[in-house]
Amino acid sequence: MRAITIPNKPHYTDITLHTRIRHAIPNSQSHAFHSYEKRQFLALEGRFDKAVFRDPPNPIYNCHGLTFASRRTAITDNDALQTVLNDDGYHEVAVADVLPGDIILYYHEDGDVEHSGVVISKPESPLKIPCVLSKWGRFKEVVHYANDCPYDFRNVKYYRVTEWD
Amino acid sequence: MGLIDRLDTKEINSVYLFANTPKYLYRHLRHIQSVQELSQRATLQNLVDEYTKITSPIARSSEDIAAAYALLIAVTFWEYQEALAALGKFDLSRLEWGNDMKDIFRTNAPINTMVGIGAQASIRPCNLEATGSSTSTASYEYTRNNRKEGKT
Repeated sequence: MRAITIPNKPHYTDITLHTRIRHAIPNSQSHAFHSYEKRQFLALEGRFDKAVFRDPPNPIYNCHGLTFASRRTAITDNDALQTVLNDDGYHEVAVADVLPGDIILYYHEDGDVEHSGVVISKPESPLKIPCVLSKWGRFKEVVHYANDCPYDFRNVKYYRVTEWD
Repeated sequence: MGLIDRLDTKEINSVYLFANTPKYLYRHLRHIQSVQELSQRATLQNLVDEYTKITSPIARSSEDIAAAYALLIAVTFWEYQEALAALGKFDLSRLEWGNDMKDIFRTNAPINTMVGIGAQASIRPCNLEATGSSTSTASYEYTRNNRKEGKT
């Protein structure tokens, strides 16, 4: 694992990232953890005892980087996410039709996507809550029930790529 | 007692660590009461000075990163033009999302010059009751100032 450092200046890079129809997607890779971050996050893990935290932590990508960019970088711009959804042929899926491999987006009331992840199990009755793989901030990937996380589950939507041309 | 000692570090750390985007960080820090209170008890110069101190390459301790964001967010409760001018005094490049915080503030903050109309011309921190909204800040501020003056 990369050494934990405290740089004097932020240390980040970006990569060339495009949607299917070649719209550029702004992105950013962070290359350092602060020891403080690691300590604090380990302490916070205890609040979610049903979740499975996947090691090792990795600051390179965020949740949207996991969901849409193959863990290569972080996507933090909400408009860019909408471009990905549009360009890559995603369409919303009703919760009753959700399958493993679909994605879940957690919306804020103002329309921003605050979190995303990949569905890994069908929503279970009676509450229709799927199991999800997502990334929490700069730290770890987490396998968790969709409502057992720091993000607001009240306004989630599910999507699947249904168009290819 | 230092300026940031009364911050709710547990809550601030939680928001900072779980933030996937700058906008999440901005929005959720603004909802933390101790950040709102910080904006009321400190002057803008206090906030600039403290930020400069805790983010300086020499003095910087890793625990101060989240607090530095909280100081930036405390500025955003001030009157728009004053806050914007103050943000110009921060070295925002010291934080990965420092410039994003300023951009979000510029995009979302209302220009609440209505504050002084018919009430008082206070330019102390505002928007405390409108943390989730950018549409009705002026009326909140008007109400708040009138309350303070006993004009309800």
